[in-house]
Amino acid sequence: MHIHIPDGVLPLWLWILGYAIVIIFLFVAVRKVRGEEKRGIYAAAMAAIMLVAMSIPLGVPYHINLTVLAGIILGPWWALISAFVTNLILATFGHGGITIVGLNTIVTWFECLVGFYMFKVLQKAFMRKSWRFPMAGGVSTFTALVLSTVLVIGMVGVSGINPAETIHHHDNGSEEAQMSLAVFAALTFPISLVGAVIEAAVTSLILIYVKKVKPTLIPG
Amino acid sequence: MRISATIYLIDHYANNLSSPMHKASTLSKLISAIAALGITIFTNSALALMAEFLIILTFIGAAKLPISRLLSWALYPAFFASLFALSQIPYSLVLPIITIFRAINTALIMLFLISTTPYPELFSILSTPSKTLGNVAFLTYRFFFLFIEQTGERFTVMKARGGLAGSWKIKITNLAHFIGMLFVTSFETSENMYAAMKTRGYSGSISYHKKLRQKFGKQDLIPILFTLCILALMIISTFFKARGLFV
Repeated sequence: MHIHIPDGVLPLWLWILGYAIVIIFLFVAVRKVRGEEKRGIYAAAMAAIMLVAMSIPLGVPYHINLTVLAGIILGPWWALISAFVTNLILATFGHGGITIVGLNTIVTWFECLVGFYMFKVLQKAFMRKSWRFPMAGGVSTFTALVLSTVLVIGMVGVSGINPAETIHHHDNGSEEAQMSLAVFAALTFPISLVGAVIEAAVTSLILIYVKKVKPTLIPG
Repeated sequence: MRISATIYLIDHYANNLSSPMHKASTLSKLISAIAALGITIFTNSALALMAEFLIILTFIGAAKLPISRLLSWALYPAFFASLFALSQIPYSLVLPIITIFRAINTALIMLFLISTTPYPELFSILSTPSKTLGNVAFLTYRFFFLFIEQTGERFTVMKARGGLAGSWKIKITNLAHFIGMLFVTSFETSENMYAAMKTRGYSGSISYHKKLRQKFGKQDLIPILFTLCILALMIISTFFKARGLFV
C-alpha cells in the first residue's frame, strides 16, 4: 500500500518529517550494506520487479506491491533502498506526489520490515516443511499490509486533513468526503483486507514457485 | 494506469526528442523544477495556478513534447486531488480549484523535467550523497526495460492460452506463477548482468555523470526562463491578491 495524496495537500511539517526520517535511515542503510555489491544488484532487480508487477492488470482496482517479498528476499536495509528508489521513480510521473516520497517509503519499508521479521519467525514456527514457506509468506504479507493500513490511517489522522480520500484503491469515494477518521478507518479496513488477502495469496504462491525453481533466493 | 507504458514513453521523450530544454544541463533543470515545485505548493491563488498551468503547457509544447499525453498522465494525481476538492466545496469554491490545479501543476512540472532529462542523469544526483543509492536507481532503470520486455511477451502468451480465464482461484494461481517466473528469470538476468559487469571491472560503482558536470551556458536559459515566468506570475498574483483583485 502507498499513499496517493497529491502534492500540496499534506502539511509541510509532515512530509518534511517523512523525508527527514527516511534520509536518516537511508544513511544508516548505505553504511550497513557497504561491500555487498551483489545484493545491490538484487535490490535493483527487486525494485524493477515491483514496478513491473504494478503494471499487471488484476481485473480489480488493486495493484500488487510485492513489498513483503522484497523484505523477505533483500533483508531490512536493502529493502529500504529498494523501496525508496521505487517510490521515487513512481513519484516522477505522478503516482504519488514527489513530496510524499518520504512518507510512502516509510509505509512500504514498514511492510518490508514486518514481512521480513514475521517470515523469519513463522518459518521456524511452522515446522511442517511442505506448507512452511507459503504459510509463513502468506501470514507475514497479510499482517504487514493490515498493519501498514493502520500506519497510513495514523498518518492521515496526525496530518489533520480530511481523511476521506487518502488510501489508494481507485474507488470513487466522493460521498465519503465528510466522514470522520473513525468512519474512514471503518470503511478503509475492509477494502484493505481484500487487497491484503489477494497480495498474501499471490506472495504465498510466488514463494511456492520460487522454492521449487530457485530455492537459493529465499533465505532460511 | 499502465506504469510500464508510461516509463517507456518518458524514456523515449527524454532520449530521442531534441529541444533547447533537452539540451540544458541536468542541474539547471533540476534546480528550476525544485523552485517551480516550491512556488506551486505555496501558492494560494486559483487564478495564478490556472495561469501557471498555461505557462507549463506552453513550455511543454515548446519542448516538442505531446501536451495531451503529459496532461493525461497529470490527470492521475488530479483524480485524487479532486476527491479532496469535493470535500472542500462546502467551505469554499476557490479552494477546490487551488487543490486540483496545484496537483496538476506539480505533476506537470515533474513530467516536464523527466521527459526532457533521461532518468540516469537524474539518478546521478543520488550518487552524490551515496554511490549505492545512485547505482541501485540506475540499475533499477536498466533492469526495468529488460524485465518489461520479457514480461510483456510472456503475459500476452499466457492470456492468449487462457491463463487468465476461469475461476478466481485459477486466475490468482496462474498470475502468481507468472510473477514467480518473472521473479526467477529477473534475478537470473540480474545475476548474468552482474557477472558481465564484473568482467568489465565493476566494483560497486557506475559512472554516468556526464551532463551533471556540464557547465552552465546559454542552453540553460530555458529552464531559468521557465522558473522566472512562474516566479513573476506568483509575485504579480500576490501583489493583486493583497489588494483583493485576485482569487
